[in-house]
Amino acid sequence: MTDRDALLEALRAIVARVAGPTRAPAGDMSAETPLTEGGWWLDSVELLEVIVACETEFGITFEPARDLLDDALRTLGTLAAVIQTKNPELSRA
Amino acid sequence: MLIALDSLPWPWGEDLLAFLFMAAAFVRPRRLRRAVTWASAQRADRPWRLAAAVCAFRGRWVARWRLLGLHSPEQLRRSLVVEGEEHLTGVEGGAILLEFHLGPPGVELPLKLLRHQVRHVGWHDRSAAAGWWSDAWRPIMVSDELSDAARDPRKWPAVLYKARQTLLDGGKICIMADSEEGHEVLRVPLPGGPMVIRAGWLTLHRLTGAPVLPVFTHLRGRRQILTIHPPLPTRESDPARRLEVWRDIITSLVVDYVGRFPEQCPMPALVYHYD
Repeated sequence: MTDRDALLEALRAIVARVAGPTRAPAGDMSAETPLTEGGWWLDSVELLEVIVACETEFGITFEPARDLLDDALRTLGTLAAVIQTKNPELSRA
Repeated sequence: MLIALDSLPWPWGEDLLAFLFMAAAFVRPRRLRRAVTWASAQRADRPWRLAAAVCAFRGRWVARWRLLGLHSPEQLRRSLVVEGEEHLTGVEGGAILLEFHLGPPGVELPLKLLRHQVRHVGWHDRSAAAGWWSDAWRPIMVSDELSDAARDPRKWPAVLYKARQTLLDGGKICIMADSEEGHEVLRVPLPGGPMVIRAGWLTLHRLTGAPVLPVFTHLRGRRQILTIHPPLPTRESDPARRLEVWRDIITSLVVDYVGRFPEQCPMPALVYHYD
């Protein structure tokens, strides 16, 4: 398992905890699974909870104007990519 | 038309706009029907009269939002009264001022005019209307990074994150309980349809420990009254039990407000989407 796979798995666990047991996406989950509509169906407040949990889990601090806009919160993979830029330890593939 | 009304001495423009909104309801049957249905649910003696009043208040709301005829902050400041101000000044560090879509628009601006350092979380279109504000208002009306969520849901996580940072840094924020964003956490039963309270403020409280102070505002004649309530109690450590206690308090406050000032509730009467 690569560091990226481990990161994605840790991230999936965080998202699953915030989303609760009834909202796991149908079918295979991948880095392309949307965090919002059509995937985990997280709303903006739940995304905040994910963001804060990521800070604790991965020892990072987000800069909202740079890290949390555009597509950063689109999928597990895009969020993982942002986390990797914040913590070089997680960047090794 | 707003420009013409703005040129009139306050509160003539506001009064005229209120009248125009009331008159417009009579040529928009759907709006009027909805207002009458809502007014009837309030068990008003004269539902038609209440329906007309609530439509008129919608016009007054727009006038207050655009500060029609109020050409300097001092003009509005003179009409403000704060009750329970000690609850706000008694809080050291971060605090969440919990607003509701009831009464005239927003408590952030009045509190700022009274020299409280508060920031609005969410959205308002002040930047879009920057050209509207006079030089005297512009420094106060500038949008900040907590109020630029617009109607773009992708901006909300970043805005909420910044709100959390603000609270952790000891700042005070104003946030709507009955926002359109976030999942439902509780429902206030009201005659005519429930008020849905969403999760943003509660999650910010959970993430920061900041006290939550419900704030209401209403018009008494020309005066705008702001009522700041004591912080919601935090004796219950269990989050579910705490929310139950808070639900009872919030329900009591909202029901009391709607009962006393039904004509100042255009959002529940005319705007909310009920299931």
